[in-house]
Amino acid sequence: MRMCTALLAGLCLAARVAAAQEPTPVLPGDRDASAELAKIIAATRAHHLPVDPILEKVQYAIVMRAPAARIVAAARAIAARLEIARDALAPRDYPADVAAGEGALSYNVPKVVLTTIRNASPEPSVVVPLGALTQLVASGVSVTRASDIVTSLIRRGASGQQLASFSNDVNSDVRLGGRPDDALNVRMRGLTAALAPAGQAAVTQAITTGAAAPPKKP
Amino acid sequence: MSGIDDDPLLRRALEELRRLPATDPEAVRRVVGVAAEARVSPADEPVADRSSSGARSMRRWTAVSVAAAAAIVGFVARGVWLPGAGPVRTENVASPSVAAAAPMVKASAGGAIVALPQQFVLENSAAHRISVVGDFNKWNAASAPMTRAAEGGLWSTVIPILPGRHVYGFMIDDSLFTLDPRAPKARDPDLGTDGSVVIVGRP
Repeated sequence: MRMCTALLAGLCLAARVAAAQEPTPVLPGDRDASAELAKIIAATRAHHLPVDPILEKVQYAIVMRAPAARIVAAARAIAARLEIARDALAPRDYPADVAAGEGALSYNVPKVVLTTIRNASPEPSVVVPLGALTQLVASGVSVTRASDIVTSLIRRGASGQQLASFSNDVNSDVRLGGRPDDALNVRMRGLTAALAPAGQAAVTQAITTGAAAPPKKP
Repeated sequence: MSGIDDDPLLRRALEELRRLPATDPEAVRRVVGVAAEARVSPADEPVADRSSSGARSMRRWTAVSVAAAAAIVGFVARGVWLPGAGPVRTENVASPSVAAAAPMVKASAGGAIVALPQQFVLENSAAHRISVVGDFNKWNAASAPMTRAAEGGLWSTVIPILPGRHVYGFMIDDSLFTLDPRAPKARDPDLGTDGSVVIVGRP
């Protein structure tokens, strides 16, 4: 009876563990690739990393009819980048931020830029600044320039909506034939006019967040 | 059910089954019913009679098989062992209620993140059906169908989307993926394919 109880309890536990798992993606017509994908997802989950970016990329790849080998390679790359993004954004490594950081890393944004943006942002979440940065780089702006601009805009108090519009405008200019860095400069001038001066914004932010006390006169 | 209530083992098994995600209630009821029939009563415990050991063994293995069935119910309920039960199939596998159940507000350690409504518009006079598919709806064509204007070929829909950068496109007549001509686009570095991009930013 005791053995039976132990077995039943163990199997019930196994059922619960199974129930807690997300559905494993299945690549149509490729059992080996599906198994490999399942391993990558399980390992990612075991490292307490968000698996949504992998699942979403797999779903996107299936819609785009990408070959199975490429899907598996993409999943493996994402898993590695998620780990780097989490390190860069720690200790505030919220899943959405880690996913956004992974997206930036996929466009060769260096890990240190993620940390810089995290430290510069007054907001708890950096999904929008990282998304704007990613889109700027995807539009052809150089990584260094895009990183500097986004960090500067955050420090000057640009809102999420302003950052989103900024990156969208740059992308539109590039699609219409403009050079990416030129488009960046032009749109930057437009946004700068709407923002507080750099020095004033930095002081306001420091006072608001308590990051630094104003210097005392002797 | 009173027999089940009296038995701590079966009560525990029932509790575990109730914690499983929503699944076929009939299957759960059958599993619990069979477990109740296979229950070894406390009165059986001290029996050392060799003649009954075979029957006890049978009951034991019945209970084990019942528990294994419970585990299978758990796996199957989440699509772990059912190919195609996951969300990645390109066919319309999800009901429209999936979209309705999508969270408007997602809690995070950084505070509540509010999904903001975004409108998607596409001009297409020839299409019979158009949906928005993107990472925000797991690329599921059934979850965000667009509505055609009374006159002309303008299709539109409004979807609440969490802040951040999202890749999407339109699925026309469940077979043709096309980009949003009005939106920024980007080439996916992993797949080498183009997608439309929307960046949702908080005001």
